[in-house]
Amino acid sequence: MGSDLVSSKNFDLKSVIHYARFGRVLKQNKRLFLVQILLYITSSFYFISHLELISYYLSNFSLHFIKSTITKREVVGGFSLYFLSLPGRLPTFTEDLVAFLSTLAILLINYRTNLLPKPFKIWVNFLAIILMISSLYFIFFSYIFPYTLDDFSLLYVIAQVGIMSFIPALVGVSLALFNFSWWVLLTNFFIVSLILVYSFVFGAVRYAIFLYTLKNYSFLWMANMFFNFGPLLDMIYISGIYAFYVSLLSKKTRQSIKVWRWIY
Amino acid sequence: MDLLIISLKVYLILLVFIISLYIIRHYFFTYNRAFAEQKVAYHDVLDSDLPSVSVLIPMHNEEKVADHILSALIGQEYPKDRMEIIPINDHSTDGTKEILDEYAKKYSFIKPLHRIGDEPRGKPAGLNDALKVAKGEIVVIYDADYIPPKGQLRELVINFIDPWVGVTMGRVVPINTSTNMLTRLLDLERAAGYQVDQQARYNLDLIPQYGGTVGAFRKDLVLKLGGFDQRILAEDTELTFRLYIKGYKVVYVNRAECYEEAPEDWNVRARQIRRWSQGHNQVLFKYLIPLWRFDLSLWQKIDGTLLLMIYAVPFLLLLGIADSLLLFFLGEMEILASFWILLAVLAYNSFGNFAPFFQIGMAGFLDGVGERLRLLPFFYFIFLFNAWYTSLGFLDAIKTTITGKQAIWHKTERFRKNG
Repeated sequence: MGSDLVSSKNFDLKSVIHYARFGRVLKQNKRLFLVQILLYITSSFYFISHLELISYYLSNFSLHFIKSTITKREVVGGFSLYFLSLPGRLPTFTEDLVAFLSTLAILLINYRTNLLPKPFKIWVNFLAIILMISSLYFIFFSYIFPYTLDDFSLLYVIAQVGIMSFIPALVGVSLALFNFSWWVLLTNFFIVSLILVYSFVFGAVRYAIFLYTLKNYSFLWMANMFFNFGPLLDMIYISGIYAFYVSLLSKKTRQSIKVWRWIY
Repeated sequence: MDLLIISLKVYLILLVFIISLYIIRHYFFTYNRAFAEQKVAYHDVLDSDLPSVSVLIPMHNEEKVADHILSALIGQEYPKDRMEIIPINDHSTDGTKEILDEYAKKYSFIKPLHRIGDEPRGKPAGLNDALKVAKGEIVVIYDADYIPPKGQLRELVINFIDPWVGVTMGRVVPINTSTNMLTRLLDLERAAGYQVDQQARYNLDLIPQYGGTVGAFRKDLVLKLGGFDQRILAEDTELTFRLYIKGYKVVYVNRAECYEEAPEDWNVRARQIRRWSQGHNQVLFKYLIPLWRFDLSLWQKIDGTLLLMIYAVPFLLLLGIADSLLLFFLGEMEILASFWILLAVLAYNSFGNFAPFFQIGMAGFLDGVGERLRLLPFFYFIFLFNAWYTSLGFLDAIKTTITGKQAIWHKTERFRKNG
């Protein structure tokens, strides 16, 4: 007992704080900040004005992975978009029943046990609940299911080109806060481009997997594709690449007097 | 049917609008913290005539940590003849009482308050009892798992030299960051909340929040206002708004860092966030309308509203997901629907402390956390976890507000193994 109990060694306190964390801000180059904001917002608009071209490349890229498909074009909201067209099928009663019982079992197991850490358990439950709702829907209302595989395919292309158009604005404007040199401006640009390329490849491969699944394993999985493996999943690589880059930037500039400004 | 579809779509549009407001708010905060002139507290003031201080430490079964915080407080560089430490033993059934009594024997300025029997349990009730016996002009509160660095009391207390300062608030930093994935993520979350959010709100003269620990307030003022509201679990947030409405200020002292033990277990974290949500939403129901009637600036009113709503939005978001699901099966997922979901996800993908990823990124950059920032994508899995338990807390708040029942205080479990 006594004050000697409390020391940095005992409690893993930081032994070195390179610069006082409270006493500094970033040096700002307003010109570089504005250049980046302008660049990335313009890029987003550029992408929006070229949705037809993006959808064309996206569809053709996915075409490599999935056979027996043709490319169609449709005008949506004033934008002409390419998408892959192929026939899909409704689930059979047996498939619905198996899906319903499986999801029920998953929910019960998750409720009764602690096999998974809580966040994963909730995520799995979310997947299961959506699949369960889908299976119930198809058991009772499959005759009024409002989508064909073409509808979903077009919806996917809309979402994917939407994400790609949004990436420069979202990531670029976030990275524009790092503007202490022209060099950083270039690396920021590289990172935004990298995320775009990743998004394109990821989006195309996922497109092919979705269509293949819906064609061969029925529309039962459609809702989950949209709500769990759609735009939500894109945030993993967007924030992942962003975080990796900022962590490198942080390590490199931690002690650089060119980057920091004292507040007093 | 048409009316239903229109209502569902309108709800989705409104939700996206609200979330967009949060994105703009947080980008503005991040920008402000990164570049703007930072408002500092009053730590440059040198005054030998320091006020008398009562340090209150609510404790319920805190034998794992009691020794540490008392040791840290004994080591404070604050005149001992002007301070007293009142550990509030709130119906403990472990060895807390014995530890406190042992300290009290050795140090005359440690005066434990043992609460036993039928007295209502809970932090606000314990604090109200302690306020009755506290002798200090200024009251400083620490949770039992906190370890204040040596100079912290002075950092927090010196600000009261300004008569319009009602409360001061320091920064919370997890001490057990390297324990597991959860504690690492919570460290990033805290960084975003304090390093960026609190500091920016203080810079911009908005509403920095008193967090109920690592904070100080004027005893007379709080007693005049009726003490802590025992019906509300977030007595800290409630006090923040009560003081602002009366014209007092909260000073945020970013450099007054205090170390806490972050939850190391997901179940404990779930209970903690649910309790926070319940308490915060009780404050929402109490102050959302009165806030707009009082003499605050327009920006304070807007920020105050967004701050009050922060634990309600996850519930609205879950409703939004249900809404989208319904629209999906009704065949109404058109072009904009995808963008709406996208926007909702963007705002809340980094759900830590309700901050978007760029705010966490900037906080980590300012703190120089390095590799730990790479855990940012893992917030994806916390997204639903937080949304779920925060929503349960929201429903708890509705229940206690309607029934008028006393909210039950669930203490956060401690994990400390060694000193």
